[in-house]
Parts: sequence; structure tokens; C-alpha cells
Amino acid sequence: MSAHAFDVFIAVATGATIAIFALAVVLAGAVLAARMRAVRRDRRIADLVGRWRRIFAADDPGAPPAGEDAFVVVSLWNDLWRADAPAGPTRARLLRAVDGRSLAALGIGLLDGDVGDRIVGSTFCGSARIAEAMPVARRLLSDPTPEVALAAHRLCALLDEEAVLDLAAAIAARDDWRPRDVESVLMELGPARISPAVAAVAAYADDAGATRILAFLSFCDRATARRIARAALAKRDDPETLAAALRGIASCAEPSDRDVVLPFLAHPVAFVRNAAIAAIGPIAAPRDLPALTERASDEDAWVRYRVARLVVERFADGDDADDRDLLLEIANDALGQVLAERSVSRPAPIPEERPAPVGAMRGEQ
Amino acid sequence: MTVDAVVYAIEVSLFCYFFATNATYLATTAIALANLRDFVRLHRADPVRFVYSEREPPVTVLVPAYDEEEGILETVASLLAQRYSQYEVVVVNDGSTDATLALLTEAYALEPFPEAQRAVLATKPVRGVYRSRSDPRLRVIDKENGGKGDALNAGINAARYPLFFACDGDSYYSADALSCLIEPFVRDPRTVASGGAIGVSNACRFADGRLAEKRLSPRWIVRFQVLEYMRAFLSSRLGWAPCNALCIVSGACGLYRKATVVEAGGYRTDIVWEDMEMTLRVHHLYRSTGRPYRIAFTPFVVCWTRVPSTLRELWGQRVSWHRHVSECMTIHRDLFLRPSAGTVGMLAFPYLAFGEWLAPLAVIFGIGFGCAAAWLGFISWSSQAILLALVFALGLAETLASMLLDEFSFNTYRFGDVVRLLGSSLWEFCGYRQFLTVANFVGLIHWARGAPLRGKPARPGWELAPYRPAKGRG
Repeated sequence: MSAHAFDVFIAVATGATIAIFALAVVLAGAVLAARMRAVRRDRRIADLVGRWRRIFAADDPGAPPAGEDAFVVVSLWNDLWRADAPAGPTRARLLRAVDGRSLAALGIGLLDGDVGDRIVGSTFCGSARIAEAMPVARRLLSDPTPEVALAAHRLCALLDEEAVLDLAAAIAARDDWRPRDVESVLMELGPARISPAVAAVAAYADDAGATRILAFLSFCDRATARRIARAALAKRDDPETLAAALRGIASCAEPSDRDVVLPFLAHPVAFVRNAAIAAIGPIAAPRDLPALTERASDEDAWVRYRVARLVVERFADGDDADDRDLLLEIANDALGQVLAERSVSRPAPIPEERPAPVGAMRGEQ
Repeated sequence: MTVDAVVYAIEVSLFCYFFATNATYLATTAIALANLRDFVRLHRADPVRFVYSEREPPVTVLVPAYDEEEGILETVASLLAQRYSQYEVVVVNDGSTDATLALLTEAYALEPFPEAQRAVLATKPVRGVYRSRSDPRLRVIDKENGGKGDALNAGINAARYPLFFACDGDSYYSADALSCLIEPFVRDPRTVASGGAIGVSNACRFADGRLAEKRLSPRWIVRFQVLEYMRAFLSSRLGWAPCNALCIVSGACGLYRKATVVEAGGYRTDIVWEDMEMTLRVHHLYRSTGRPYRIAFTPFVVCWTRVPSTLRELWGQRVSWHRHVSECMTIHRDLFLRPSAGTVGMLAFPYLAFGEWLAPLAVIFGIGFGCAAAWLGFISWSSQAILLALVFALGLAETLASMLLDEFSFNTYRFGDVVRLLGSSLWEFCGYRQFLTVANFVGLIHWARGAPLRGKPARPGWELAPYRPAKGRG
């Protein structure tokens, strides 16, 4: 490298230094500006909260602000809605405040915003039952963001009875919705509305879809849930689906379901047997004891453990002391096997050499 | 080629090195900025989550504790105050020589409990298992001293749930720590580990296991570390995570899939720290077998820890940290520039090697060489000053970009504290960074000489009286 080239390099470095220092000054200014903006935002939110608190005290809360505050205002509305008990007094006041006011327009406007806007807007329009939002919401049903799609489905289902079927179909079809979010929506819709839809979807869905929808059987009414679970147990072969159906029937089983559930105690897949034990639990009768105690020597430790607990919890408080002792002995034996298998009683001996950690990528060499 | 030309070439090479490392850092900052806004806004909106439905996967919280009598009660109190549906807390007393176990026994009414454990990982012998009469979620395992990795392995053996949260015995956790860290696992089933951001708690106030007030320490050395933590978590890790190239999930705040760690062979017990090694090992495991996986990062500050407040403590910490980086570099050298290791092998690991591991050598050589060249008259002092100013400006821009990310998202500190941090960002270059460079260099020497391990560094000192739970609690 020549001296001239180095001089050019130093000149470029000087320019770069000045530019980066300027960038640093801009960044420092941006930090302070962002901080000031946050302070102002906090004050504005405090003001908004103060205004919305008037909802509790007066019938006329005043017109909500517009523009960039739309997200904050609608979010606040959602938070207040969420905080109140179902059908509580705040909800009624909030709904009254929305009628005929520009807040509804703000909510609909948010449906065309970014992801956060769309979620907040859909949630608000659903909670406030704003029918004008339906056309946009139908477009959002296929939104790539799972939360947006679920919020849009919720909005449609709350406003349109027929859309509940679409929601149930989407639950069966999609694997990217968080169960607790789906549960929230189903809980809000109530068993009377979702039961027929879940029954219809569970009947024609494929195994994966049926497994997903069966996980929410507890949100249907008991009779429908039983009917769906029994149908799945009779027609399906997929172990995951069978286990979901067994877990579903556990919360609504009646004594007459014993004959349907008992054969699954001998199913070749361990988690199906486990689910069968959970399902038979609330309805087990003394005559089922042979089938249950047979599972005390199951090859799967969890099956043995669960069946032992079931036997003790369901039958060990009977009047017959001999029976009780016998059952406790069976249960203790099953538990003992589990404990022995897990080498409980003493700390594991230290091997001379620790297991080799994953080292070289030998598969490639 | 003349001597002048050689000197110029070396100067330009050094400049290119610093420019490349800083450019990489600015690139990760840009990626972080792109991700952070949606991340925060989506999380802030969170309107669909009306009801707490208790369907999250259950988690075992592992708290390895060795001589943690100063902070263990606060840590456990903050963990038992988590807003999470199903979890257990397993404290592993790793042969403490102080009153750690006695404090826990008194505060939580511990009683011996012969318990079944699936001993899938070899550990030092377990002396006893205790459960709490006052809180059924708490268990304590008392074992012989074997280091943090060994304690975590013992905790994994005792864990009842498929995910475990690795903690530190001297940190505090916000009540939503688990619910934030579980998010990537719920959203993406390929997730095998998830790390959270860590904040500096030196001057913060805690009450009843919760962070009551966030404050900035008046000590300069702590403020410099606050800036470092901002850079590390908001710019660096948040930038690498979307590329699935995160090279470290902090040992104080990492949620792992238990089966993954067991498959990887558990934590190593022959190194001082364990977090980076485990993260790289998980990368190694999945990349070598070609299975899909994801190591995620959550930018929310869910863990608050005390950082060193004296130069002596900081020296010990950084020497051992850099030694750990050196160990990881050699243990996982196969990842270096290996195409099948994807972004980890081609981007993150080389950056870690050149931008972090060998950085002390480059800095010391660069400053020494530049000064010598200027002294001998090969280049002018003004040229040397310009190059140093450029490095200073790049570092300053990085720090301010990280602060801006924090302001855009979390607004961690008050206005006055932000102004103080801005001032600290300038003074950071007047001795502090050079101090760290020397400490890292010594860590490198320790590793090269194979100096014996001397246990973990001294615990950072308290600036406020530690919180003690109310007497009625236990």
C-alpha cells in the first residue's frame, strides 16, 4: 500500500468518523425524544383513563379522541371490558358509550391497520357487537397472523350464528392457534352455540382435525360432548384422536359409558390406555376391578401408577376392611414397581466417565 | 515492499477488522429494531387472552444454590410469585457451606421427603430431598458440591415436567417471567430453548418477591454494565435470534426442553460456567442430526440480577467469563464455518470467535501497534487519532442504538436515569472498556495456560438491604 493510498484511506476514515459522530448525536437526540414522547404518552394515557373513568360515574363520557390515540383508546376499552365480570355493570356502560359514537368508527378503522391494530380492532368490534365491521372481519378470517384470524372469527361468531360453524371448522383445520385463546373464545360463545358446530365438524374432520376439536369438548354441553366422544371412539382408529375422545368423555361420562371406555384399557398404545383410565375414573364400578387391576402390571409405568391411584381413590374407602387391604396392597405393589423402576431409594452411582457430550459432527465426516 | 507499506497494510487490516465487527453489531441492531416493534405491540395488545385458561405446559424451575444465603429467600419468593398455572420450584443446594439450607428450612418449613427420581444424568450424590409444608410447589434437593452444571443436572433428574427454567440463586424474577418465556414454545413447537433479557437490579427495590421500583445505581461501574446489558440483550441477542443463531441463553434466565438437554448429555461439570456451552451444544446436536429446531429469545426483562459494583468483583467475573468463551470456542470448533451448521456456523460462530473471543488480542495489538507506528514516525499521530476516534464513534453509536431500542419498547428507566446513561455512554470509553479488554485478555491467558478452576467469582455486593420475607410466610 502506498503512502498516497493510505492518505486517501485516512481521509475516508475522517469522513466516516464525522458521519458516525453525527449519527451518534442523532441517536442521542432520538433517545431523548423517545423518552419525552413516552412521558407525554403516559400523561395522555392518564388523561384518557381519567376521562374513561367518567363512564363509571356519568352517562356522558364525552367523545373519544381520534387519530393516533385510536389504538390506545380502543385498547383501554378492551381492557375495561376484560376486567369487568361477564355481564357486569361496566360492560353495560361501555356498550352504551359506544352506541352512536365515533369510537365504533375508530374500531372499524383499526381493522385496516397493522397486526396490533387488527387484533385490537377485531376484539373491540366483537365485544361491542358492531355489525358494520363484519365485511372487513370476513376478509380477516384468512389473515396470516393467527391472533388476527382468531379475533376475526370471534367477531363473526359473536355477530352471526352461522359463523360459529366456520369457527369450529377453523379450530379443526388450524394448528397455530393457542389452546387457551381458543378456549377463551369458546367460553365467551357458550355451550349452546358451539355444541352443534363442534358436533358437525367432529363428524367430518380428518383425524388431525378431530383430535384438535375434541380437545375442546368440555366447552360443549354434556349431552353433546358425550355423543361426540362416543361417536369418535366408535369410528376412529388414530391413537391421538382416541386419546382426545377419552379425555373429552372423562368430564361428562355416565355409567352407561363404561362399556365403551373399558376396551381401551387394553389398547396397544400406552397413552390411549392412560386416557382410558382417566375416562373410566369417575364412573368405575366394583365390577370393573378385574380390568383395572390387570393394568397394575402394565408395561407402562404411568399406566400402573395411574391405575393404582384410581383404585385407591375410588375403592379403598369402602366398608369392607379385607377388600380395602387387598386394594391397598395392589396399589402399593404397583407404586413400588414404579419407584423401583425409577431407582428412587438411593442416589444414582457416578459412572467413571460422564456421558460424552455431543462433539464433532461425525455424521458429516 | 517497504516497511511503510507493511505498516499501512496492517493499520488498514486492523481498521477493517474493527469495522467488520462493529458493522455486524449494527446489522444485528437493525434486525432487532425490525423485530422489536411488532413484538412489543403484539404483546402489549394481547386482547384475545381474556381468560387465564391454565393450558400452558407445566414448567419445573431449577434454582442451583451454592452459598446463596444472602439472596436465596428473595429469589425463591419471586419464583413462587409467578403468574403461571402449573409449575414447581426445585432448589438444588449444591453443598453450600453457609446457611442456605437452614434459611430455606426455616422460611418454608422444609421436611425430609423420600422421593422417586428418574436419574437420567449422573451427578454427585444426593444427600436428601425436602419438600415444603407451607408451599407444595417447592422442593429442595441437598447434594454434595459439584458446581452449577452438576446442580442443574440433579435438578433435571428431579424435574417432574417436560420443560425446565434454569435460574440463578441470587437473581429476582418478574411475576410474568414464565409466561413470557413460554410464549415461543407455545407458538412454535420446534422451540427447544428460550432465553429472556436480564436487567441490572443493584439499586432497584424489591418487596414481597416483586420488583417495586426500577432505579439506576449511582455507581459509574454499574451504569456501564447497564449499558453493556442493553447492548447484549436488545441489540445482539434479539438480532441473532430471528436467524436462529443465538449462541448463548443466559444461565440465569433460560427455559429448556428437558428431553433436549438430556439428549445432549446434560450440563458439563468441568467448566466454570455452563450457559454458552449448553446453547452451543444444543445447536450442535440439532444441526448435526439435521432436525428442525429453534432457540428463541424474548426481549422482555424478566430477570433482575446484581452486577459487580467494584473493580475487583468485575475483574473476577470477566476473567472467568472470557475463559468460558475460550472453552466453548474449542469444544465446539466444528461449528466454525461449516455450511451444514447454517447461520450458526457461517455467521454467529465466526462473529463470536473474531468479534468476542479474539477481540482482546486484536484491541491490544491494534493500540500497541498504532502507538508504536506513530512513535516511530511511520504514520502521523493525527491519523492514529482519527482511527481511534472512528472506533470510539462506532462504539458510541452501538450503545445509543441499544438505548433507543429500549426507549422504543420498554422505557425501563426514568427520564433522569436516561440522561445519566447518555452521559455514561461517553465515559465508558475512558478506562472501562480498556479494563474489560485487559480482563478478557487475562481470561484468555488463563485458558491457554490451563489454570485451575477456582470456583465462581465473588458475589456482587449489595447496595440496598436485602429483602426478607414476612415472618408469617413460612
